Amino acid sequence: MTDIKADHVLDAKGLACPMPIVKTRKEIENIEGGKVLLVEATDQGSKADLKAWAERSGHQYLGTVEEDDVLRHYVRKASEGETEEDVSFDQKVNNDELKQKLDSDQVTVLDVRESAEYAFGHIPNAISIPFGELEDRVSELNQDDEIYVVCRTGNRSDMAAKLLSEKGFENVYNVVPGMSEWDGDVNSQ
Amino acid sequence: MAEKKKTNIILFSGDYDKTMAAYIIANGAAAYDHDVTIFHTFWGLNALRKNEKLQPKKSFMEKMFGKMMPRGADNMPLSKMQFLGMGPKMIKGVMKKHNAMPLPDLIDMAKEQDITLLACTMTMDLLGLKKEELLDDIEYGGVAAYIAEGEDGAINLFI
Repeated sequence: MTDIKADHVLDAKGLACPMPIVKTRKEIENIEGGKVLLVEATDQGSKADLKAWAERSGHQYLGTVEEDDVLRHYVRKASEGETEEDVSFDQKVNNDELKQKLDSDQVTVLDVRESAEYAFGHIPNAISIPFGELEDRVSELNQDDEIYVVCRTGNRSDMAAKLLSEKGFENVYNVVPGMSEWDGDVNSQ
Repeated sequence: MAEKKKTNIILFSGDYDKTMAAYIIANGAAAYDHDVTIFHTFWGLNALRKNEKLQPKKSFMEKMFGKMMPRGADNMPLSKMQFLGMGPKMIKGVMKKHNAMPLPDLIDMAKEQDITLLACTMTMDLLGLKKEELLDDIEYGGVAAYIAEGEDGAINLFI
């Protein structure tokens, strides 16, 4: 799990409490909403600190990878409007319906979250194409497949489902709410 | 996001280690987007003292106090293991090794994060500390200033 993609990297190695948090807070102000920040730290307390801080400040703590005494924390900056329910694509299913589909049929699950979010937990066999890359990578998908688009809360997948239907995909469904409340099987990278 | 929470710390102690704890909490809370105020009273005022020797007009007692108290955060003693000055030297060495921020840097960081540093004027009078002896850009107040902030504080500490 060494090559999880992040949009920004903050080197907080060697810094002691409270500096990793203080620096992270400063750094995240310079980042666009929805982007992923990787914080590299050696302070062993930084994992609990960062998780608590992210939850409190509305950002999304994705997970931590530990190797060679370096803790690599992944945080996704909150983006405005994402917390509000704004789902307008009319072909949609809820989590339970998707679970039943997975049990019975051969269906394609398309995960449009950032690759770091995907890496820390996704539905087994889901295809990862972050929403920002979807337009360029549409050709990787098969138009005849039944495609269930999933993200964290149903917003990005809503936009993705619309994009796919504009491109001529007919069997596209938005999964609402998505991974934030997914209690079925999950794989990590 | 919810309204900003407040953290208020009353810094009564004049020890290097206790002051460090206060400033670490304050900086952490500021990173948590809290409005943070540190109320410096009694020996805690010494953390705000400038290092240079100033000689404002003072009475005999005030001069004595001024001589006996440390000038600035870096000269403060430890609450334990002072060992006639060896303790602070040792702990600063250890802190350097572990990359912990020295107290003067923590105070600078606090200012940078817009933490309000407030000096209690009543105890300033008692200890004979004048405004020109304390750091610039700090605020002054009394108990009401603390109560006003403290009554809706999420975290209130006395250190």
